[in-house]
Amino acid sequence: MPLRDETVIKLLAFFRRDAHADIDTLSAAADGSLESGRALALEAHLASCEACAVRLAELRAVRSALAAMPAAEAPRSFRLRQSDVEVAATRKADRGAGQVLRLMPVMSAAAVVLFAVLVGVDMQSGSSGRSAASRAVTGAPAAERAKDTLANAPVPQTAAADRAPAAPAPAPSGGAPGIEPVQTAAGGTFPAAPASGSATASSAEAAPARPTSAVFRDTSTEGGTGGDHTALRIAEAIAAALATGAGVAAVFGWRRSRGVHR
Amino acid sequence: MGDLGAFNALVDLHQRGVYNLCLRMLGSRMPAEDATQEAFLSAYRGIRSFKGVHFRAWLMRIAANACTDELRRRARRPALSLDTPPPGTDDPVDVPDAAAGPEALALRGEEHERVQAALLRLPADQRLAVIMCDMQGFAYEEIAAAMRTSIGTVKSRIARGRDKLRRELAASREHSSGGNRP
Repeated sequence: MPLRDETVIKLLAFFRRDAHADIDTLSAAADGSLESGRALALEAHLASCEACAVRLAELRAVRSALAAMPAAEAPRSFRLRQSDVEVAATRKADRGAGQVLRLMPVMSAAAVVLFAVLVGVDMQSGSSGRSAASRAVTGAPAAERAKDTLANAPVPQTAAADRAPAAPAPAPSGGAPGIEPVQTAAGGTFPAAPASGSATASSAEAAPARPTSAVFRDTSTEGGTGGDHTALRIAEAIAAALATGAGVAAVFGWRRSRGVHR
Repeated sequence: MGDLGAFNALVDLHQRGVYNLCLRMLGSRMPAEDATQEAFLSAYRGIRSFKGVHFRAWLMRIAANACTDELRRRARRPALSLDTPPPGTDDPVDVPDAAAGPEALALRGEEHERVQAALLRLPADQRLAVIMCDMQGFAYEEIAAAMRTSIGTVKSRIARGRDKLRRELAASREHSSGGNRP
């Protein structure tokens, strides 16, 4: 077979060029898995390279040492009992409970914040109209900040608020001294709005955050209270769900601490 | 439960192999027992997912994963080092051999400890491949199935593992003979 001979000659030439045999070749030779062509070439190389011959001998010694390691008897039976299988299932369920438990502080905090907002909104709606309050809720915690800003804002701001839509897209952080109260309010309530570019869009969205007089005017002219009620109901439902979740997690925690699960 | 009874027949058949794999992977008995039990539990839970042909290799894969979990647990607790079992506190993996005299036994025990210590210094993938190939006699194909990799990668891991062991053992022999010199 001329082709095969050629391969062998090439390999022989490769090894004679004094490159040492690589570890994959030597390792395969040590366990007898080297294919015959390469085995022949290696043999030729080993005849003239002591380093590789020693390395191969050492690899064979390693194999012998490993094979000579005695196998231990199983120290006991590892048969599974029904209880092992059940405990494993319980442990799995417990791990799930653990994840719920980790969320408890977050859920509790979120429920508290949401309830606080809702209470504040209800109180406000008692004095200043239901729909305006409901709208503020859509901004959730950010709306709180907005309200603070507005509460501290001076009265002449109303005029500034009316001017605001004409100004091109204010920055959310609101730093410009002239009209900053409104900008801050709008940015705080709807952070995405200023970036959206359209002046009319930002004016419409800024409306709920305006001082109370402006809000009164807006709500009386715009209507749309149905959607606001829906938002309020959704917020209430979320708060209730969070509180329930926190409660469930607390029960899991209590059961775990009582050692219900092992 | 009939399922459990049938599974326990498999446990009887394979527990020695699984335990020895864990013992060599972890280097001490208690963790090896835990890993073995954990491996059989995992295998029981996942038995329906086994669709291959190499059941023993599949089981060894699960055992190797149990060992990896155990090694991770140990890495998290720095008191128990990942590589070297703490001297004295750990039970050495010394399997008694009744057919030898006391002196030969002691010498052989020393050699076994050296090999085990060198094994523990290999990266986990090389250690697994070498143990399966040179201590448990698995074919390359089975090892590749167990490690979910190609035969070429398995050969390469074995080659690197053996070479590192060769150097480690040569160094430790040199060290011990050097220490005995007057």
